[in-house]
Amino acid sequence: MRNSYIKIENVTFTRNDKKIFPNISIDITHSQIINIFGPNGSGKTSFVRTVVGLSEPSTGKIKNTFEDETNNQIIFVGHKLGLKKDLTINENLRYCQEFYGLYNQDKIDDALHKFKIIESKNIPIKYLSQGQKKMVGLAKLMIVPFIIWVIDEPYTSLDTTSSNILNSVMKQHVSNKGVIIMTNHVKLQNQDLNIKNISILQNE
Amino acid sequence: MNKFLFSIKKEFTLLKRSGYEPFIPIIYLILIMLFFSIAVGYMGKAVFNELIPLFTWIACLLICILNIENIFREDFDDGSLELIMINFNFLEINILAKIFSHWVLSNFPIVLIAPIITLILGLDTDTALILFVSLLLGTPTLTLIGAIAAALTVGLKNNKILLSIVVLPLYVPVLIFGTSAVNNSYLKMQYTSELYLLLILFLIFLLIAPFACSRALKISLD
Repeated sequence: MRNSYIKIENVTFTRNDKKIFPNISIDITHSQIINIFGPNGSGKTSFVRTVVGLSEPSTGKIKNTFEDETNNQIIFVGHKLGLKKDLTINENLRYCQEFYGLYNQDKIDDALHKFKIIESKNIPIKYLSQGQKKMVGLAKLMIVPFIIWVIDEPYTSLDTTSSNILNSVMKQHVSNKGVIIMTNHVKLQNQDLNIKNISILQNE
Repeated sequence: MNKFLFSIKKEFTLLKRSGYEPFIPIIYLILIMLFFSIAVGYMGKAVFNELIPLFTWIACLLICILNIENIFREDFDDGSLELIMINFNFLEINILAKIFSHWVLSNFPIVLIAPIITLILGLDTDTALILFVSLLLGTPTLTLIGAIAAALTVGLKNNKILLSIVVLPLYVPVLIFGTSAVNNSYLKMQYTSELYLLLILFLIFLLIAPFACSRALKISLD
């Protein structure tokens, strides 16, 4: 098995002649949680958008060196969660799976159980609170078999209980050789999770 | 192919939930034709009948411009578009499915209703049939062109004006061939060449649009 999944080499990002983030090089291997931290407006979201391929880096390269063809896709949960407000939670998750050509109701139920939103399964997204919406967005991570998770500020609008649930979900994913890239305002320290903190402002 | 069918199924489910939205184009068309017949009704029967198919074409074109903005708007606002863009393997198929379902849901109803309205207003059956065929060949082209422009402007806040300016020059050929087909039919002249030209325009934009849209969306989301 190859060690490196994603290789980020000297990536910089410039917008309108203004440097958004400086030179960043990270070598991401399996079973790793990368936490990109920095203050507001420091370019965390731009960075993850570059990693998933929504933006082109100004200089540098991002290489996806993961070889398994079936699971090599990245699942991304950003600020916009990609949920249709007129569809129910179950339908949203189902369409998310079908989008990638899979459908497995058991996995959806498991994910909803885990996040404790199984009772609201048949409620349209528009009636949910911000935190519940976020949990549905995060439940998407669990229902597809992709190795690389990219999450933009996973802990915003989650309470302590939900944050703990998220932590256990992430722990499980990492123990299955998964990779998580996330952004946060602060450095994260967690004894259960082996988190590699990287500041967006300077290169480690 | 599966992806294509799945995307269409999703669009239809969404529409079923959205309530009365699919009826808006039909109501617009009925209103425009009603106002037209009131305003132009005092003219002689011959002039009035000659104007009906041309006016129907213009009405359909305007309705296409009005609703084309919605094609990527909701997906852009709720973030679904980002997920589609990341899954680059099926990007063009997804976009094509989106364009197709947009056409079926917001343009096909007016293609069906327009000839019926013209028949009620007193147009002869042959011309109404040609109107139907020319709209059937013309409106998909309008949707394909509009989708490229909508993809280019989806990131802007007030994109309606820019969108109309971008699509207008490209809509003109479709309007010319469409209206001259129905006009020729009304005047009992040859109209097949115009219909073929509409078909060619449709095929050209069917080839270009998915790729142009995917590039344009990349730029808009960047």
